[in-house]
Amino acid sequence: MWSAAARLGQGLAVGLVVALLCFAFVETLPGDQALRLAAARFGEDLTDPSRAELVRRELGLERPWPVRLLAWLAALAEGDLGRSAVSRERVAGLLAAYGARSALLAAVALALSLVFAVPIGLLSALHPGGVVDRAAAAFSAFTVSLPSFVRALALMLPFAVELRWFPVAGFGQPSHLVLPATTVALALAAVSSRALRHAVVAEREAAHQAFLAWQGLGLAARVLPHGVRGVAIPMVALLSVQAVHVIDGVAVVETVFAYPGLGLLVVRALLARDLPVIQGVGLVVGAAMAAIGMVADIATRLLDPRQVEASWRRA
Amino acid sequence: MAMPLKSLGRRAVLAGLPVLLTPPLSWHRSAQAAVRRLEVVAPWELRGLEPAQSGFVFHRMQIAEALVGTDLRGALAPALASRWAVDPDQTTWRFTLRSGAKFHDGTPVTAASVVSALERARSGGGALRDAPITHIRDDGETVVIVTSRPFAPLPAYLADFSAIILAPAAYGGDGQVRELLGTGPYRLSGREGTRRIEAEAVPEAALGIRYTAYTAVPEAETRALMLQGGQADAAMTLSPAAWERLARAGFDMWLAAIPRVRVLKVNAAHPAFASLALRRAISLGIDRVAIARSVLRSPDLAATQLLPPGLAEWHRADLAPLRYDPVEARRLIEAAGYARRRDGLYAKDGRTLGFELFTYPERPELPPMAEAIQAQLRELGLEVTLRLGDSSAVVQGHRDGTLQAALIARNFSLLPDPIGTIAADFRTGGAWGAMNWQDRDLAAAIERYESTFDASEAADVRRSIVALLHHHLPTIPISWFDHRVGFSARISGAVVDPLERSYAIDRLAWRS
Amino acid sequence: MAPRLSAVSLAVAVTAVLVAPELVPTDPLRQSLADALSPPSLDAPFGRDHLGRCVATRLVYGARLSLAIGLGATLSAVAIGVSLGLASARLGGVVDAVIDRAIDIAYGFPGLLLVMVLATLFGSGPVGLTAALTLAAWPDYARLTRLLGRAQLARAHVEAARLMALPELVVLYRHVWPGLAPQIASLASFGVGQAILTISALGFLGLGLRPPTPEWGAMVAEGLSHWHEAPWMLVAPVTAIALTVLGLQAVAGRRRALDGG
Repeated sequence: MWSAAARLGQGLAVGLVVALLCFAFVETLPGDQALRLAAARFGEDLTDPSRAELVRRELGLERPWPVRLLAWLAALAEGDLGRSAVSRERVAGLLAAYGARSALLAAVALALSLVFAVPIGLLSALHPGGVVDRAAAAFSAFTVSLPSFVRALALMLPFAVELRWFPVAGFGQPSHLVLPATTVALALAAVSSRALRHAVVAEREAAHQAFLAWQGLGLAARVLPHGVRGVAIPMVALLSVQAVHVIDGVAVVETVFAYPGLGLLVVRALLARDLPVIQGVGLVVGAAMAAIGMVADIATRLLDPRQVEASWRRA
Repeated sequence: MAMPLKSLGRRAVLAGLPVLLTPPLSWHRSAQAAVRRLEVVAPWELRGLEPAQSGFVFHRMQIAEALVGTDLRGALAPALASRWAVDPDQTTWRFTLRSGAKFHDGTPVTAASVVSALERARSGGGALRDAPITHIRDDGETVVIVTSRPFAPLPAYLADFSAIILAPAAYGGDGQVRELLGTGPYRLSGREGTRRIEAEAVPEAALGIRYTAYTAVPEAETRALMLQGGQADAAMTLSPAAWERLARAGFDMWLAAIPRVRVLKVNAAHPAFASLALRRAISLGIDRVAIARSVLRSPDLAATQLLPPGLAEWHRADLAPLRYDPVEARRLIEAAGYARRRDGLYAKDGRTLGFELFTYPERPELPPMAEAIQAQLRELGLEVTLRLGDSSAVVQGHRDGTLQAALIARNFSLLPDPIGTIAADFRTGGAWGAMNWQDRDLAAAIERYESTFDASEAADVRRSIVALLHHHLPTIPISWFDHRVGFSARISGAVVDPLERSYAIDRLAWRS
Repeated sequence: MAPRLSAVSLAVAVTAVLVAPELVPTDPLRQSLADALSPPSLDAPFGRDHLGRCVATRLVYGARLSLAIGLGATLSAVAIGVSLGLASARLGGVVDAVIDRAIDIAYGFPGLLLVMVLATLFGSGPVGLTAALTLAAWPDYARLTRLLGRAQLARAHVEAARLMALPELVVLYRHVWPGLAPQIASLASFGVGQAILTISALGFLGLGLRPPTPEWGAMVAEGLSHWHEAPWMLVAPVTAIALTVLGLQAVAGRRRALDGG
C-alpha cells in the first residue's frame, strides 16, 4: 500500500504534469498570444498590433518558450504562482477565491444530489420495470438532455423571480448557492439515481444473494454486510467521477448564475491565453483530481476488504 | 394510548419542514437591507484596476473623471477641466482645472498630479497614445498639452476612459494602480475581484442615491431576470426578446441608438471585393431590413449609410441610402464578367465567386446575422462559407493577409468624436477598417478635418468624408446598434447616455 | 413493455437518420426571415427558428451528425476507458498506479484546451469534435471500471473461474464484465446526451460545428436566447436527445437481461 507521503508526492506530481501540459498545449495553439491578451485587457475595439506589442514587451513574451517555462518553474519553486497576464492579480489569490467558491458549490451540489438520488433510486429499484422505475428513467433522460441553461432558468423563474425566495444570481451570501447547486444537483441526481437503481437491482439478482438465502440467513443479515457494500462501491465510484466534473465542468451554470467559479476562470483564461492563470489552475486542479482519486480508491478498498486479500494473492 | 416514539419523531419532522424551507426569504435581504444600494448589472467585468483596462467601469459609475466629458446629447462638456482653449499657434492647448476639485483621499487636484496621470495614460494602452502629443506639462494651475501638428480633436481624446485622473497616492511603488482614488461624486468602497464593486457618495455631494454597486453578469437573460426579480435596479445591454418581455411587464425600459455599427470588413485584394462594382453588388444583395427585423427586432436599425442618425453631425440625410436590389446586383456581377452556373453560383475562368466570412460569437447577434447574409448571398449567386472564432482573429487575419471578410461590430464612439475611429480605420487601413484599400482623397480629408479649427470648414470636410466612405464602400455597413436598458420601479429620473459613458447615477433618486 | 417502446423509438430514430434526409422535401438551410420564430403549423410541424428555417427538417437532417458524434465519441471513450480500467484493476501494482495517475492528469487537464488543440489539428469538423469528446470522456469509464472491476475481481465466482485456469480474457468477459456492464451502459447512454449538449456549449465559444450545419446541439444553442418566445426551438432538439438517451438506456437494459446479469 502506498504511504501517505508517497500519495502526497504523487498528487503534486500530477498537478505539475498537468501544468506543464497546459503550457505545452497553449503554446501550440495558433494565433498571437500577445494579441489575445491585448484584446482581453483593452477590449475588442482597441485591439491592434501596437497594443499587442505593448503587452508582449511588458510580459516578456518574445522570449523563447524554454526561458519562459523555466522562469515559471523557478518562481514556483519559491511558492510564487505569478500574476494574471490580463488583470495582474496574483494567481494564488485568484485560485484561492475561485477555488473556494467552486469547492463550496461542488460540496453542496453533491450532497444535494444524493438527497434527490437516494430516495428516487431506491424507489425505482423496489419494482424494476414498474411505474416508478419507468417514470424515473424518463425523468432522468429528460433532465440530462436539458441544457443546463434551461435547467437554471426553470429554477430561477419560479424561485427567484416570482417567489423571490433566493437571489437570481451572484455570490457572497449562502442564499446565492442554493439555485446553482440545485441546478447542478439535478443533473447529477439524474445519473446517480439510475446508477443506484442498477446497483440495487444487480445486488438483488446476484448469485451470492441466492446462495446466502439458501443458507437460511434472514434479509437483514444478507443485505447489510454484502448488499450495502455491493451498492456503495458503484456509488462511491460514480460520485468520484461526478465530483471531478462539478469542480471544473460547470462553466455554463457559473455563467448563468454569475457565480465566479473555476469553470468560468478557466474559460476566460484560455480564451485570453492567460498562461499564468491556466497553469496555476492546472496545478491546483490536477492535485485536487489526484486527491479525489485517492479518496475514492481508499473508500472502495475500505468498503471491500476482500480486495486487499485478492491483491495479495495476485502478487 | 401512548404515541410510539417513532411516529412522534416523524410528526416533528413534518411539522418542522415548513420552518426549514422559509428562512431563504430573508437570507439575502438581511445583507442588503442594512443599506439601500443601487444595483447596476452589466456584461463586462473589470480587468484589473488600470484605467486603460477598467476605466470604463469607474467612469460609468462616476467614481473617476477625465479632463473632458460629454453631456447627455453626446457633445463635449467640461469635466475635471472647467474650460480649455488652444493658442493661436494651434498646437498649444491649455486646460483650466475645476476649482476646488479634490481626490477621494482629500488631496487637492493639482496640475502636476493631472500631468503625471496623463503621462501614464499616454504610455498605456488607451486611446490617448494615438493622439499626436509631443509633451504635457503643468503651468501653475493649468495643464498645457503640446501637439506635433494642429490637432482639433484633442479634447475628444482626453475624454477617453483611459485618461481618467487618479490621485498620485493611487499608484503603488511599481507604477501599478493600488487604489482607485478618483474625483467623481462616488467613492470606491469595496471590490470583489473583477466581478463587483461597491461605491458610496462622497460626503460633500448631495445626491439622491448614496450607495451603489456594479456587478458583472455575463449572461443577458440573467441580467433581465435580475431586474425582474428585484435584484437589480439598472440592467444594461439586454437582448431584444428580454427587453420586449420586460416592457410588457411594465418595467422602465429604454432604447438608445449608440454609434456602434455592424459592418462587413472586406479584403479588397480578394477577387470578390477587388472592384468597387463587386462591392456594390454585394451590398445590394443584402436585405438589411429583413435581417434587422428578424435578428435585431428593429427594422430601423438597417444601415442606410455608415453612421447612424444619432450622430447628427455625421449622418447625411441627402445620401442615397444603401438598399436591397438583387436585380441590379446581378447586373453588376455579370458586367464584371461572371456567368451563372447551373447550381446558381457565379463563376469566371473556372473560379466560383465567393469568400469566407468570419465572425465571433462574443456578440451573440453576429453569428445569426452572418448566417442570414450567407443565405442571401447564396441566393444572389455567391458561395459564402462561415467561420467562427475569437474577435482578435480579425486583427490577426488583417495583419497576415489571410482574412477575406469579417462581420464585426465597430464602435465609432470610442471617443466622443468618431474621427478617432474613422482615422484609425480608413486613413491607411487599420486592423478593424479598410484592408488593402486606400484613397488619397479620403486620407487628405481626414488630415484636413484633424487640423482645422474652423467649424464650417470642419462641417464641409465631414460631409465629404462621409460621402467618400459611402461611395467607395471599403467596409460595407449592415446595421446600426440599439442599446437596450431597463430600470426598476424603485428609482426615478432614469436616463440613458447615448455614448454609454455614464450611467447618470447622480440624476437618480429613490422613489418612495 | 416500456423498454421495448424506447427501443422501438430508438429504432425509428435510427431509420429516420439513415433514410429520411432524402425523403424530406424541405431544405434545412432554407431561410425565410419574414417567418422567423413562427409557431408550429402545417408546413412546419415544429415551427421555425430565428432565421425562418423549418425546425423539423433541421432535426431530421441533424440527427445524423449528432448521433454520429455522440455515439462515436461515447463508444470510443468506453472502449478506451474500460480497457485501461480493466488492465489497471487486473494487473495492479505499477501499471495500476500509472494508469490511475494518468486518469488524474486527464481529469486535471482543462477539457476546453483539449478541444481547442484538436480543433487546430482537425479543423472545426465532426472528426475533431468526436476526438475531443472522446478524450474528454474516457477517464470517467476508466475510473469507474477500475474501481468496480477491482471489486468484481475479488468476488468468489471470479476466483473460482481463475482457479479453473480459464483464459484471462474469458474470465474478464464472462465473469467480470457482467458485473460492470449495467453501470457502464447506464453512464454511457447519459454520456451520449451530454456529448451532444457539449457541442452546444462549444458553439458559444465558436468551437462547435460550422454554421449553418444542422445539428441538435447547435439547435439547442440557437434556441436558448429565444426560450420565451419560441420554445419549440428548444423543445424539438431536447426531446430528440432525451428520446435517444432513453432508447439507449433501454437497449442497454435488454442486453443486460440477455447476458444474465
